[in-house]
Amino acid sequence: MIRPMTCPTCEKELPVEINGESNLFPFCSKRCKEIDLLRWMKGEYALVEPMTIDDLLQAEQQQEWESE
Amino acid sequence: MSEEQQNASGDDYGADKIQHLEGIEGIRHRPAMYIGGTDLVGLHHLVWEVSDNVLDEYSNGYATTANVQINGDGSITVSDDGRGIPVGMMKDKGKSALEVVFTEIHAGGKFDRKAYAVGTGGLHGVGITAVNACSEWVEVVVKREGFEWTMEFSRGRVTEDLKKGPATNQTGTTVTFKPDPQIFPNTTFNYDTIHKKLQDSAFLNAGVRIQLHDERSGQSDTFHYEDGLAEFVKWINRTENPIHSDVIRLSGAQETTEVDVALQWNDGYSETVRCFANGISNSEGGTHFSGFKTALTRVLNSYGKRENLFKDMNPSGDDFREGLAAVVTCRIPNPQFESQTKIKLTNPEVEGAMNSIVGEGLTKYLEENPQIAKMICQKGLRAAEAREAAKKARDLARDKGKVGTGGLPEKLRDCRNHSLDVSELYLVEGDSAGGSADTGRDSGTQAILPLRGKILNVEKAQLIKVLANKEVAALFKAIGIPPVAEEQDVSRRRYGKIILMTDADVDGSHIRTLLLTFLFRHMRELVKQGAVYVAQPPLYRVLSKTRRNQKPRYVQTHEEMMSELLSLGLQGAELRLLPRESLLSEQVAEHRGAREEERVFSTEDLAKLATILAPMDDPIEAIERRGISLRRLAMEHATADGLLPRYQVFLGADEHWFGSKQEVDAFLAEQQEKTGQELRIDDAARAASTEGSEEQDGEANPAPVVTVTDLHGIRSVNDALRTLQTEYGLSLNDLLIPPVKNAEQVYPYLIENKDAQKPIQSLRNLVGTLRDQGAKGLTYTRFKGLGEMNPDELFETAMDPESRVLKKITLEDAAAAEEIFRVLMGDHVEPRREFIEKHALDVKDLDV
Repeated sequence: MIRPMTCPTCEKELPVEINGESNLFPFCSKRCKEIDLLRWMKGEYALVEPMTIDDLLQAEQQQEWESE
Repeated sequence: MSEEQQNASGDDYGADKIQHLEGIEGIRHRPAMYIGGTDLVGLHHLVWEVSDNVLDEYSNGYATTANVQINGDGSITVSDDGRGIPVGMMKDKGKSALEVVFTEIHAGGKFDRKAYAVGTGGLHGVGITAVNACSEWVEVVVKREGFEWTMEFSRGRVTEDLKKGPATNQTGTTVTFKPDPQIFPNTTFNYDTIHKKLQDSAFLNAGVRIQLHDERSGQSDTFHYEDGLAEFVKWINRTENPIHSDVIRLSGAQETTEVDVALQWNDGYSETVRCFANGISNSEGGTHFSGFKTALTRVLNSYGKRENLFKDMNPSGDDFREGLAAVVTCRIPNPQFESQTKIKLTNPEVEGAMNSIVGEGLTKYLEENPQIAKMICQKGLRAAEAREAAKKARDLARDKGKVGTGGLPEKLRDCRNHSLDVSELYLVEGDSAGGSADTGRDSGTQAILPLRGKILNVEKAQLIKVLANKEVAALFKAIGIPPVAEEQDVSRRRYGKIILMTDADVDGSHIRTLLLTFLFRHMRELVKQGAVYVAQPPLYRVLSKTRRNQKPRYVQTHEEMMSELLSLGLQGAELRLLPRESLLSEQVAEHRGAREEERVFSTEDLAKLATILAPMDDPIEAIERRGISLRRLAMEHATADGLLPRYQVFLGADEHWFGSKQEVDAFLAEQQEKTGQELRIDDAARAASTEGSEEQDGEANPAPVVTVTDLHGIRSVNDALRTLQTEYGLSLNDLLIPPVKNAEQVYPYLIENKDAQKPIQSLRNLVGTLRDQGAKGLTYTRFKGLGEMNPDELFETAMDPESRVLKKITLEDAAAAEEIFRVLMGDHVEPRREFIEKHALDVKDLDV
């Protein structure tokens, strides 16, 4: 199994007692798990890309639908 | 002097003698008043009293070393190389200064601490007299004025008068005492207690050397710290990872208050701040600590706000002190403490002095070290996040706990049957697809939760893929597993299967990656139990043009569709190869590939040929995207065995191509010899500068730098070329378009079937043309998204247990998605962009 060896929040290496069996995995601590959860809840994890023309057309279409 | 005293001084029972006895007896009678107690703390205070005298000598430049030894008989010896306690007679007292120091409270002379410019705290103000009074016996050896002097006491009384011993040219004082068991219930010195205190003292008195030895156990330690407080902080951080390498030092003086502070943050969460006033440890802080805290919070807050580092968060003072290791010290003329044990400093003037000196110094430090400043602020931000996160997680869990079915997310279209055997929750990307899924579903067992994965920010022309904030809460509520639970009780989930249904494009795969990462991190148990699936809706709908009233067929992937079109195109087709000349140079002797005779490939051979040619498209196109034309590469640089060269070498502006690494190395060695200069190899620079440039050759490369680019894709092209050469008698030449002849295009290849003959210019067009032929009898539609399917279609292809294709997500799949997510989300913007560009060309890699 490819498994991340660092905590997603603090990027520290996971302590040995945190393995795939642990409820905290892949986090090093409850605290880091909670921070990650907060970031999800705040919508901070987003992939932002420049819009393509297709996207723009789609957006306009959507606006038309929504205004109808 | 009064008459009475004059009379008394003539008497053996003179007043001052009585007073002195009262002094010693007073201490013995109520030792707690003088040394804080008769417990182990009080016992050890005796040691500090003596060792602090040494530190005073050190601070004033008279001693360099202290030796502390716990002796086998339970006594302790403290010696130094200071000036030695004066031994001369004090005329007004009629006894030696040494005796006065050891027997009188507040003894004057040189050993009154007020005589020192700087002093240790003077632990208990009663000096060494208290040590004497509380000891079964005391032996003093003084080296001073050319001789060794000795004197002994017992329970405060002189038992051996001051004696002049052998001559010596050294100076110093050695005091050995054995605590009196009549006073202390426990007279056993603790090595670790003494170790800790002496080490602190060594940190606070940079440069002093303190040696500790325990005769009882043989343990010993030496403390010597040239950098004082900075080393203290490093020592506190010795088991942590500091986030910046420098220890920050802030010091200054305001009126009579001197301030000296050292601090460094580590990546942990605990705060370790040691406070000292005049060398006395104040475990509960006091005014120096509060001044320090106020300044720290104020300065970091204003820096972070000004530099826009906090987003919408407001880190508190506690947040900024997470992971802080600091030593806060001050020296003041009259330290005041809240209690006898001096654990808290109360002098009000210290607070303001500390606040302004730390504030000013730290502000300056942050300005000068913006990198470190940023890290410190981010650390505070993360601590603030953690605080808020813990609160939110609790709220969400509580929220979940109190709601019944009425508390389900608004957008959830629930099903009636919640048996884990049959119930399913579809997480559907996009509202319109959610609508179709809602109409088409089996509402008995299938629930729908539409998620708005894509958000378009039209003003900024940005496409944002996100799991929106409300949706995270909706997921927990719909699935019924509270966040941050100690154990995830998945048996209580509300649906048997959780099925992700997203578009089959890059955006869809990004959203799937987001969702899987979220599930992996916060509902991993669900994945582990095999409850998470990915629906694989088809990408194509296919209808035959010839049949009527047919049911459409669905094709899952682009690859399947392409191979289906190819096999249709191959039906009954043959390939006729007409004679053609070679475009390759004379160097390619054997494999120039000129054809004299016409040849025909049967359908069977043509099918095999197509399977070799089809995989060549992608790598060749990749090379051409780099601005290298296949035609030019083949005509000018083909290797002797008729293959493409893989290594592009620039020597300054001159371009060279080589087929193997060995040839590259040989060429470079030759160049090096020719110029007699060390060549500067720079692979990365070349790769970066060629990106996006249409023309490679003739571009200015001012510095004669060597760049070597390995076009990995050429390896697979060459493998295929070899097969073409050996098994089909074809060559690189067959991939090139022949030159125009008599103002007309030349088509040396003909695809023939029973209906038609299709001429093509090169074999690169063969597969595409065959597919076009294959598509002739069909109508096929590529779905741009789930929203383009009608409800029945969506149900049949992605939701009907009889006909849908579901992929069970394993922990490995989810972990892989999480890895991809980390790259996409990484702090480092550049690699991320590279990653996206690389994978945008090759969507398969992002598919899970």
